[in-house]
Amino acid sequence: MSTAIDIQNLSKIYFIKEAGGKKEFTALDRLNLRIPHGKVLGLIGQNGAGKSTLLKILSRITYPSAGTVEISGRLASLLEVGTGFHPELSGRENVFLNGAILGMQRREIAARFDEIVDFAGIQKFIDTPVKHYSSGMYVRLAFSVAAHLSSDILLVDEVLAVGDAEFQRKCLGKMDEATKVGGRTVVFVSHNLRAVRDLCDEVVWLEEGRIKQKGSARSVCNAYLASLKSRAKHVPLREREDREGLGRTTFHKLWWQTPNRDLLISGAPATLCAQYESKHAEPLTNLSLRLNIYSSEGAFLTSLSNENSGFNLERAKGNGTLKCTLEKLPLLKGSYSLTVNLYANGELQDRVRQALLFEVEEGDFFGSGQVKQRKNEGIEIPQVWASEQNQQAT
Amino acid sequence: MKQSPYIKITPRGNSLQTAWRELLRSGHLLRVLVYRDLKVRYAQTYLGFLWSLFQPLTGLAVVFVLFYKLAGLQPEGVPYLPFALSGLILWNYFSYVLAQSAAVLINMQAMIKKIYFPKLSLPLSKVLVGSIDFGVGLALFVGLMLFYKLPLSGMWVLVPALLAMLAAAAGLGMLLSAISIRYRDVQQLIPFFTQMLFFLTPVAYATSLAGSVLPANGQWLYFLNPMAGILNLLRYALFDLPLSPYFSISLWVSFSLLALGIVSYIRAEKKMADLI
Repeated sequence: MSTAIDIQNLSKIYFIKEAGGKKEFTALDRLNLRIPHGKVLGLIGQNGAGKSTLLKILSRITYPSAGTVEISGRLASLLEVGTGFHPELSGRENVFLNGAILGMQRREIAARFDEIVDFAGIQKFIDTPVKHYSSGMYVRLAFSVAAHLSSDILLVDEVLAVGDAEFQRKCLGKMDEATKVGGRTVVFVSHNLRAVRDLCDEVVWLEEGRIKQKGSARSVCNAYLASLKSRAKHVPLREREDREGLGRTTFHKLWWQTPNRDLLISGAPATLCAQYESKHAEPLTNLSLRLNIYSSEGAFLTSLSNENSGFNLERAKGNGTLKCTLEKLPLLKGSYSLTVNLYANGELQDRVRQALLFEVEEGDFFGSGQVKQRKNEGIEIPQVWASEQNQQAT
Repeated sequence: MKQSPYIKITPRGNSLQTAWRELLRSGHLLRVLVYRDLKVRYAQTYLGFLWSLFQPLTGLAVVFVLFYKLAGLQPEGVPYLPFALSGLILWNYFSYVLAQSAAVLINMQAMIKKIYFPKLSLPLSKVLVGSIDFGVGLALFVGLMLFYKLPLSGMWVLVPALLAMLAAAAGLGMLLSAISIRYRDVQQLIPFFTQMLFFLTPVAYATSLAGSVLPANGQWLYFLNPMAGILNLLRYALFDLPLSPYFSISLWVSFSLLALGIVSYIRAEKKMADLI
């Protein structure tokens, strides 16, 4: 197979200005990678591992400090959806504007215009200025333009983190279709390991600007997950350094409390406790805590949110513990991980992925006395069954 | 079959040839950028397109009162209104392109940080947007010339005058744009600088007036201002006013500014995403 992207000895060093002078930061360190035509390559790794820098160099937004990249084929990159959208212009005008910025010719956009609008599902509002759109509509239209780009090589960065779940699935489907039918080369950066595994042929795991592991999607994702888990197991939450956010308030400890010697049982009561500490004297206001629960394969299952359940956290100062009680734990037997997200006034304060790992034991969620073993991790939903038989005239 | 494109990314960044080749292929992008600017400019305005007429007219009224009525600066043998308007429409175009292209890298940073596109298309799109206002002003000017029964045979001069003026405006604009990535101060200076330059440029008065202030052996200094020579040439062709022997200095300055502007702009483009 011919080579679409050939990366040789690629390095990128950033100079960060500090009070005492300049500090060097090596984002990429003599990277070598060859991506054949038609392959879908996933890039995974922690924040700061160099994934985004690599995509930026490939999309020519920034230039390397050393090394070369050779690209053969028409390249389109999607580092953000809706680049260049203008609020005063209508949806129709923005499709043409955005398409042009992404490198499409007028006739290409015109030929796909109906398809783009259909895909976004906003036919009725296509001639309305986008400033009147809801954020969901805006993102759908923006993504739709991008999804219909005609290029041989597509670079995608986390854009799938936007939009509602249904639309995300649609986008993944579209990308999948593009690679299978169109024979496109795709480089895909994401924290969503499930999506990476479903879409990619091959995965590269970056760590500190170098390739830590490269191979089939399944094996690399599993190795990466295992390393995340071992970190979660061996490094206490308060000492974790792979945090995002402003950090004025951070979480130091997460644990489950149950009446059964802290054993988590499906259908039994359980309380999740989150201990926080504030460095700042100023209290934080308008808090939103989101605890996202993922399966062991990294698929998002549900989240515990004070906001959605109507519990207002007006302010937090100093230290304390937040508790969220589930009367019946709705998780199937299996292993789960939890990501903690704290926002204050819409600003991210603290985010730790895989902050807590836990196991759930078999239990009788429905109180039916019948527990059938199930293989996958997942969620139980309270349900009522009925059977109605049609009366047949004899 | 279409040949598939090939790109080599190196630490050196884009060469001048690459930048030029990509600019030539960016026709649709240019069209869209121009359309966006025009549409946004008139969105939610009551007068809309009429504003393009309003600007040269008010400008003309102001210089008429200030320079003609109050200061009494009458160019010899030429009606003042067409004389002043010829300078004003070119000056307005100049200051628009200068101000817009100087701000282009900073205004478009969100886009520059997220997407690769031929960045020379940004100042070029401003040149095209400005041409609309210039066209309106030009129509007004031709009307005035006909009204005063002046010959239109000198209109050929617009071709060299426009080329030189745009080279100077876009060149200086790109140079300032490149500098302002590091030093935002430049953005503060531009309106002030443009205003000073307006008074130093023979827009509302004849070139000979400026010449009478300077000593004989320092006359050429005045033409370091690109617009001085350009307007001198313009008035020579349109109204048969005297042509200074030094006017070509301005043309040299204009095209040197363009070359300098393009080189520094392309260099800045390379570092931009890391710096802004």
